[in-house]
Amino acid sequence: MAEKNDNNLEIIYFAILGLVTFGFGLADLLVTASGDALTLGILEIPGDMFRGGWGGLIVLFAGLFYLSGCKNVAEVHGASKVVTGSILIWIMVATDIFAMITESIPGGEDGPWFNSLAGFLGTYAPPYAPVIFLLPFSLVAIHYIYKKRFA
Amino acid sequence: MKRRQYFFLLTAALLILSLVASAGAHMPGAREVPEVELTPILIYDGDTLLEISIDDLAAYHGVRVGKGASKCVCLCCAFRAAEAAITELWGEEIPRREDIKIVTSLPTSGSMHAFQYITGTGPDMDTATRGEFSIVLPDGRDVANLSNKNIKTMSKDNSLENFVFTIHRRSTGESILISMSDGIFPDDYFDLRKKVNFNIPEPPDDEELDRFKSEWEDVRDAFLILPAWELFEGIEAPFPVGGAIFFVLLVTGSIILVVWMKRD
Repeated sequence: MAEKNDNNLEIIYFAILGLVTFGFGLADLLVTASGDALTLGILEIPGDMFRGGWGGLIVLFAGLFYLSGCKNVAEVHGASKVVTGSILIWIMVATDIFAMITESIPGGEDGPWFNSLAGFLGTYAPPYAPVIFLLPFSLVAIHYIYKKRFA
Repeated sequence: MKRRQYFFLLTAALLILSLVASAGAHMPGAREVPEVELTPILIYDGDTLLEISIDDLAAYHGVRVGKGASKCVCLCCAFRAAEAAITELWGEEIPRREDIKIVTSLPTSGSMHAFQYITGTGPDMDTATRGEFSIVLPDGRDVANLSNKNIKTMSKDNSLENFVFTIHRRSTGESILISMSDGIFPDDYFDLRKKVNFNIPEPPDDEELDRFKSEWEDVRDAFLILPAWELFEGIEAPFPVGGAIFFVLLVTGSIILVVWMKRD
């Protein structure tokens, strides 16, 4: 009985995560189609073809993987889809954070070799792309990786 | 009689059209001003709290030059510089109009009307108190004749050196000097301006006209969109708290991940 309740919770969790991820992916594509990036508070939906277009497609498929895997997440097939969805998110987050790191170190085109402390930290300041907000929620998939590895 | 009526109607229509066309900016055919919400300047005029927006300055400038409201490059620059300087000098306090003194090296009608409006020193202004405003050129000459005609003549040789503003807090004697950051104005901007507006050294060709229009629009938009610390030297960027929090989370998360992976 308790296991069934746990499964229901997992299904609801990944269904919601899937819907939100799918929504962000769709928003990425729509904003890219409109031509300009969209900033809403600390959220920035990119509008360029590479990050918004291709990136949006990846986020959209991550959402589809979550939605597809959430129904039978207790089984290896469902869990693997959920993990794949999370891996897609991690790829996007890793590229975004890598871009931030490389941008934060030099002092700019006409500036000094190294950035100032404020300039360095300013690179990490909001707004962020939607995948950054999805990262902590996608980490739950690690549980499935370990669960299957040690089963 | 009929011909005279037609002529009158045609002239009136042309006049109205020219006013409408110049309502957006004094640069004919310039693209629309980007929609941005700029923080208004709050000042006390006697006991009245005034919220001075860039639209108020544009309207006053339009009335003074007789061409309709206009957000030109110099007006946008003056608004942003004054807003940034007042924030630096008064912090959270709201200044009193008579406590503000602005000295600029920029002889242009847009910046002059903006600063006159803020200090309450402009002609035909309904104000209870007045601050101080003056134009002192980079070579030290004081511009006493503030008529539009004279200001236009004085503006002929404007360069980046003219975009220097000193804002004083008269009650405390504090002041801040604001100049332009590198890269806001393209290198050929002032040469093109001289050609286009004054035909010096010769009238511009079509390519130069288009280039100046495009540069003018970009500079105006930069003054409306960019944060003050990117526009002006002398304005400190606020400490990026959000960036610091994210960086700490990133480093902590990475350490936890490495430790966790090593554990297995």
